[in-house]
Amino acid sequence: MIAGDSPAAARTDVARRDVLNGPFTTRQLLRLDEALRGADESTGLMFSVYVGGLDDPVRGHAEKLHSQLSDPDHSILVAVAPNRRVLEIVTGHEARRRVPDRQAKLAALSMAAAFSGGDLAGGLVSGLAQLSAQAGKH
Amino acid sequence: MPCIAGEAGHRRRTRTLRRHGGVELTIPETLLVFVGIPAAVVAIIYLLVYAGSAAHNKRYRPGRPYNQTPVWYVANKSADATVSGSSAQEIGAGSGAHALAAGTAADDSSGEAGTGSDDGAGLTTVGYGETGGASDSW
Repeated sequence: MIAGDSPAAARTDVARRDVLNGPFTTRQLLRLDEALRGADESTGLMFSVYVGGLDDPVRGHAEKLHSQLSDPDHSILVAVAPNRRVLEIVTGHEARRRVPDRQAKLAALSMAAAFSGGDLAGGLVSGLAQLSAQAGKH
Repeated sequence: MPCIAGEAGHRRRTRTLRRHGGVELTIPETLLVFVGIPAAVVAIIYLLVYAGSAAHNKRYRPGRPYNQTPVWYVANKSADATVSGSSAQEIGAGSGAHALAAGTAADDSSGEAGTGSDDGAGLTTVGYGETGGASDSW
């Protein structure tokens, strides 16, 4: 068990550093964390945010990331590729019933509007709020 | 002769200057005061301005290249993005989410606890039509 623990700890250290090297300031990370937890708690779905590169085909890559989550059926992934200026919202089988594609598109539009102004964190937070509000209606 | 007269005139001028509180500067001193000090002031202001903006260059600006570490956030500990796969390693994902969850939600029991349980599971790519969502670009 101890042998198994130490690589995990090392990985967490690396991850901590990576998170701080990421695109967000500490304050933005806190807001994002709050938004994610609020969305999860209020809907029972699992929300996830990816910000980084997406390979071609973008949709396929986003779906692959989505399938790596622990419970893809009940998960919603928001994948953002700032370099390519695209974003993908992937909803799992069950999550799709709660958040229809049309509503997801609405959230995507508002996120894209924020991103085009250079506000990654704000766009993500408002997009998550929109998605979770929609999912919470059912 | 003219040389002596010049010498005398110079001495007289110096005396007059001193009487009025003036100082005589050599050429290096003049350069130091009238070039060196302004240059130092300009350099200090330049440093202050650009050191300030360098701290904020994490900000994403549309159209500018984006070179931040990819990040992937999930909210709760059960939401394990599997980090065993090579693709998960290369995007530095999953574990980043743990760092966020563990760092900000101290009441959660350790975020790494469930990692071992589903190693290698759920890496199947979903078929077309099983997921919904939306895309957008900006």
